Amino acid sequence: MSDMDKQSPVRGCVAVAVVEGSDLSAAVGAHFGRSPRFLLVRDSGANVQALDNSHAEAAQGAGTATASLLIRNGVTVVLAGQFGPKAEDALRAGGILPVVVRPGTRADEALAQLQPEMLRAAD
Amino acid sequence: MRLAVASGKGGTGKTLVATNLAWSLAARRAGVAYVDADVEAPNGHLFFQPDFTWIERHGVPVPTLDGAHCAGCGECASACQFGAIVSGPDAVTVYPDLCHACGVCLRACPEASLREVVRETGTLRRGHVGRMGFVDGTLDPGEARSAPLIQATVALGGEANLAVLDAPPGTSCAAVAAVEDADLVILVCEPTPFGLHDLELSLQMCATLGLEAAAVINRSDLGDSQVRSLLARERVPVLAEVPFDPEIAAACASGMLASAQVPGFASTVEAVADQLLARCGGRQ
Ligand code: SF4
Ligand code: SF4
Repeated sequence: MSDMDKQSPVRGCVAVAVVEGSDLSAAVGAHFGRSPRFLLVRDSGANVQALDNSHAEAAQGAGTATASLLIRNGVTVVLAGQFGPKAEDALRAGGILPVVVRPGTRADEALAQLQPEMLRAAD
Repeated sequence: MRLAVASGKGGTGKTLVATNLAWSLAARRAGVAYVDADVEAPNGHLFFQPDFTWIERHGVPVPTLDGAHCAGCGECASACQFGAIVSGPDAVTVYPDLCHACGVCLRACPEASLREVVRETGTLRRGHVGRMGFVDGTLDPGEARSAPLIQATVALGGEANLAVLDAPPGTSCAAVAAVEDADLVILVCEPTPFGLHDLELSLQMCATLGLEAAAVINRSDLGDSQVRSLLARERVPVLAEVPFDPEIAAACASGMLASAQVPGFASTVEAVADQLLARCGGRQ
């Protein structure tokens, strides 16, 4: 198990679904459960890590398995273009706020727009 | 010996072929059963009005906390291959339609908090019509996971010497669950462009599963020749062609076996039954 698989001690981690890229210039991906990668953003953007999602190709249960991956990584808010109903339910059950963002938006712009929600959910 | 009667989509005459063929085989040989595994819309019973001797609810096990202490550690969710269990801070959420009842999460939980409860998904029935056996499975309304019930239905029907399985239409997991152990898949198809596409998918499914296929062309006088060319190219034998006949449609609509009402259709079905018995004569 890598470090990324363990629960993060840091509160307030925003995950951004992306197709590729590992910094905040990356574009927000269209679909949560099918997202091959997430950027985990901590400390208001000072700390960005890429987390690859091995569940993106799963025939079934991709959304809920991806939710579990983010729960394990201590995520509190997640941004994506769209969320399936089970994924959304699983995220909320795990204490993660799903936020819909127009796909293709730059990650840093999407984060900037979402400050108030981020802060609320992160505490 | 299991004969699965399948089709690329509903409404092609699959149940017409399955019910009449089973009845015709039962007239020729003992130990024949009609098995309705089209659990989302089983309607074979309408044609036979069987005497049921055994009815039971069928269920699948799903994990549950059931009030036990949960540490929120997420071990169960990490262990599940199907994304069917998600852990929150002090409880888990189980998604029964994703759960494959593998039991891995139960073993993974360090607190031994999870146990299995049976979640009922449908009803299994067994009976007979004269000397023909009858089995069907009926999925509960709104239930998403049909494969376990289909497998149970097929297994119950498989106790017969010669089972004629009415499979769910399509090529989904449900259809695969019904046909995967069949000795022969009889594809009921129509000679239209849509029928051609459905037939291509069905043939692909059979090829992937390594199953032998044969075809019955229904409403064979409508449409074009592409379905026949495809079957010829794939070397899939055509057991029968059934031309459109309003009397067959009328018999079906009133819940009667068309072979008991329409002599021409009866002889077509009998010929198919004879071919099949000749084929399976040596390997029962
Ligand atoms: S029984 Fe298997 S499939 Fe179902 S939740 Fe547990 S680990 Fe997942
Ligand atoms: S493994 Fe057991 S204790 Fe841990 S989250 Fe799952 S149910 Fe709770």
